[in-house]
Amino acid sequence: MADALNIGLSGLLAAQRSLATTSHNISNVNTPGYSRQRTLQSAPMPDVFGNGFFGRGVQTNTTERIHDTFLETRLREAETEHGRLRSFDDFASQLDELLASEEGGLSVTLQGFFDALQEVSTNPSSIPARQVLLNEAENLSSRFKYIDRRVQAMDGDLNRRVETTVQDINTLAREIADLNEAIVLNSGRGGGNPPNDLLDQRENALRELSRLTRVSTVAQDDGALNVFIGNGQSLVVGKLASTLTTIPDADNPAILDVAYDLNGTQVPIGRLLQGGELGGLFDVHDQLLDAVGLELDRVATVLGETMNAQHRKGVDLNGDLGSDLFTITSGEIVHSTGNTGTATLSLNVTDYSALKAASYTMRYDGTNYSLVSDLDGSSVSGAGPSLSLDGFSVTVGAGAVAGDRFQIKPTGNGAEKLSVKLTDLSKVAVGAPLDVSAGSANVNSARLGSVVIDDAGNANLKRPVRLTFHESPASFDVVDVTSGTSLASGVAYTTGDTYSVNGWTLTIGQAPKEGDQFTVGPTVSASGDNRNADLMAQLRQQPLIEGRSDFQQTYASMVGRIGAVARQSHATTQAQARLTEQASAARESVSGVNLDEEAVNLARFQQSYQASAQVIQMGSSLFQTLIGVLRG
Amino acid sequence: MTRISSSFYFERMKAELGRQQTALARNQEQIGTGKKLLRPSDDPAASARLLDIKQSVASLKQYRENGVHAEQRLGMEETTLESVTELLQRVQTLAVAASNSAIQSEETRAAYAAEVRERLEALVDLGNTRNGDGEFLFSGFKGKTMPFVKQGDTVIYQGDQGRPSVHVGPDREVAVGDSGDAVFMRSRDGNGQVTVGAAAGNTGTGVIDPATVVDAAATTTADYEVVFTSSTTFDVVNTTTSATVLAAQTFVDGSAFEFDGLSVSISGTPANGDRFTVSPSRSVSVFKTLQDFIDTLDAPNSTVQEKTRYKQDMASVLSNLEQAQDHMLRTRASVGARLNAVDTTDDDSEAALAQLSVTMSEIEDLDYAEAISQMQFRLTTLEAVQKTFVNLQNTTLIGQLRF
Repeated sequence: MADALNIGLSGLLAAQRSLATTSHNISNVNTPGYSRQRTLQSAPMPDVFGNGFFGRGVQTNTTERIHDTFLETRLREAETEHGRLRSFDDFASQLDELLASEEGGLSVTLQGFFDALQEVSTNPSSIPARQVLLNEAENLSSRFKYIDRRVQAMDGDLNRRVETTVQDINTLAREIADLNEAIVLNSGRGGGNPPNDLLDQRENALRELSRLTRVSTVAQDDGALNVFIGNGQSLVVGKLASTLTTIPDADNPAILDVAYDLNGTQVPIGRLLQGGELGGLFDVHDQLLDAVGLELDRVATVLGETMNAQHRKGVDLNGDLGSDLFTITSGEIVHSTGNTGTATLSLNVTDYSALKAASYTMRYDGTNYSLVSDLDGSSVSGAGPSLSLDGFSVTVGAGAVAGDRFQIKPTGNGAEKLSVKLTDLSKVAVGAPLDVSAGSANVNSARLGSVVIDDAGNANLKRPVRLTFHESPASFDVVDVTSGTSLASGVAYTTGDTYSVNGWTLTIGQAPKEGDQFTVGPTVSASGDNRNADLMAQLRQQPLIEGRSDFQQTYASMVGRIGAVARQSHATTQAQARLTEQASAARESVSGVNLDEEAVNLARFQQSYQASAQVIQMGSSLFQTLIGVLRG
Repeated sequence: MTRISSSFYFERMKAELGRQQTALARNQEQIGTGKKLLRPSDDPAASARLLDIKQSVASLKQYRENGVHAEQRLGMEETTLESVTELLQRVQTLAVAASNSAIQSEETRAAYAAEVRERLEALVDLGNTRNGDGEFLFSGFKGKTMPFVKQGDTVIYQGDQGRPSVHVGPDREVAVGDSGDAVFMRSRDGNGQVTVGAAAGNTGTGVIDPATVVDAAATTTADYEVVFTSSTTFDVVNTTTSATVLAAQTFVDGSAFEFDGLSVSISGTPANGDRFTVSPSRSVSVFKTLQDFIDTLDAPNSTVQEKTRYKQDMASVLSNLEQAQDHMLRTRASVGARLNAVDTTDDDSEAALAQLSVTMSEIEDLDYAEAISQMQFRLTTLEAVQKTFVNLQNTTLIGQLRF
């Protein structure tokens, strides 16, 4: 009887414990990262009598979480990848959106500018056409600035995101360290039983952390979990958490790097932090913003300079040679913050059509300099002081120390710096400075070809030069008309040959007759001369960028490239979202709370509780019966 | 059997509804804008191509505008040159009449001279035609400079030899004008290859007939002089080299003699010491030809020498007028060819534009039927998801159990 009472009581208590666990599960149905728990029970050591073993009821052993470490790790890895893709995709979408709008893009303004040039070429004497040209040039420069600022604003956004992400990492590291401490303490206090809810909390924090950056963990015997980031930098060791900080990137002060405190020294580790939202953010600058910024800078600079070069070869309404139409950048050189030397660099673009949309890194090893393209890895090296690559050359001044590093962007700030220099309408160089006129006594009405200006800076450019032709042998004499000095005589030629002097080149298209004279001299008050405007308008479709594409094509292919990256990023982000969902479903299928299941458990434990109560009732009535007999 | 956790079920429902709604919003945006491509990422290659096509369309439109401009300028030049041709024809008629000495009198010559003077004024006016923008048509690049002004009896050209041209196609540049120098100042004298004349002091009645080229290869660029050494003999001297080409030739009235690829004849009776010149054709201005005509008509015409001079000069005027008309016809032919080129290029551009519009529409325009049926499909899916959610909501065990 006493046994029945004790056994009934043990059943009652066990059912109570299980009911409490089920209730705990039900109430935590919406707690993130919660793992359902169950109370384990077993039959205790039975009593031994001569006639056999007699059970002593039930005992509860422990309450455990239903949990799969492998699934948890898989979910964490999926979250890391998803975090990386998602933060990258955020920016890719923004950029995609920016380049999508026709009004926001460069194409329309580029067309407007060249249309205006063409209009000036068609109506060279029209003042309104010139006004429109300058307005369109202004529009073009502000459009470059606008897009550039939007891209820079995204760089600013990026920096803020990096900062908040680093703060979140620090908070989570602290949380994990605190939980470590609590877990170690409570494991001891609980006599080795697992502090389930604390473990869940720590795993939840770890999962949030792995969404931000890739982590690896090592479990300690005392229940603490050590967390490592990058390539082994410890973030949490036991109850100690490290603090990450943000510092300006050594090579590009405009963007932020992440630093790790190593015995008091701030070591930049940004490039090591792969994966997670932070990893995605670092990819954004390299793969998206930098690519767009460099391309815009290049198109702006090459456009500005080729326009300037052609404009300088023309003459304005006063007959003066053209000046620069645009102001362009002089490039950008960043001295790495770690440099110990004092050398400064000077940059000189030698061939605008060879420039690439790239940045370059220059290093000094104590004897040699090396200049490496960040874009394709092509490089040159030498003892200096000058190195040339991709259409520009860099000259290093004295004072470089081994290990010094420089970041070079030949067209850096190009989009921001492009501005219209010319304001005076009459100074638009629409005409060409030189014209060929046939002597009035020429026997034949042969025309020579046109004159091409090679060097507008030649001091003798506008000195009239007379060519007198002879038939046998086919040759000509060249005389400076003003001074009467002979520049050349008896120059043999065949039709189609060119002759260059004083910074210009003349093509001899038709064979003149004996004694024919042609004078190459300055064009005077030629308001109808559209030759230079026409040449400028033709630059629209010249392959001036790397000898392959015109300005519009270069912009379009950049839009296409970014579009492709964004498309790829959308697709992989969506795919990864599904994978993460699946990993989460797998974890949930083991650890998640199912209310129906808990309802069944509730019913089950309620029944066993009721049954145990019956056992006690029965024991009690047995006892009463016995008492009655004894009384009787 | 996979367990489904309750909270995860809700999470997944949320995600599913979100996905459906995102897709619907995109559908709606497409229908609203009528564009298939909303962002470059929708189809990066097509987006880049679209930008290129738009540039091509814009530049083709600009080229067509240039073409219109070129047509206007060239049309104007053509009209002007037509008037010039008509004017020259009239002067030619007068010259033919005036060279018929049988019907000449002082008065008829004066009347002719008066008309030719009028015509010369008219020709200068034609040369100074302005285009719609108020720029002179024939002053080369110096659009604001009046090309032709009379100084005394000479018309001088003040423009330059520039030939403005515009692009009417990517690789098609068309000269939209010709300088006044080329049009009016560079007609050829003589027969276009060689010209003849008589010296001022000739005393005989010999008139040199227009020379002809019989052997082009043998011609030189030198000037020649036929010098009569007596009334029946003459020498031919190359005055450039001072070499005697033919010596002591016997003169036969109207009989041709040849030297250096040229055939020359002299009619009438030259006197000893008379000289005739034979030179390569040179440029002569149309104005000068008319002025020469006037001067010839105005010259005294009573002595035998004067009448011979008249005859000789009228022959020059006639051949120069013929050359002037040829020159105008050639210029007009060149203008016509350029107008034609502009037309052809414009047709090409129009065809290309039509083609590009089709391509552009194919790339970016939305197929409404497809988009709407897609939207319908998505709406149905969304409704289905919502309905199953509501139904499942009502079937939880917790709700059924009574403890």
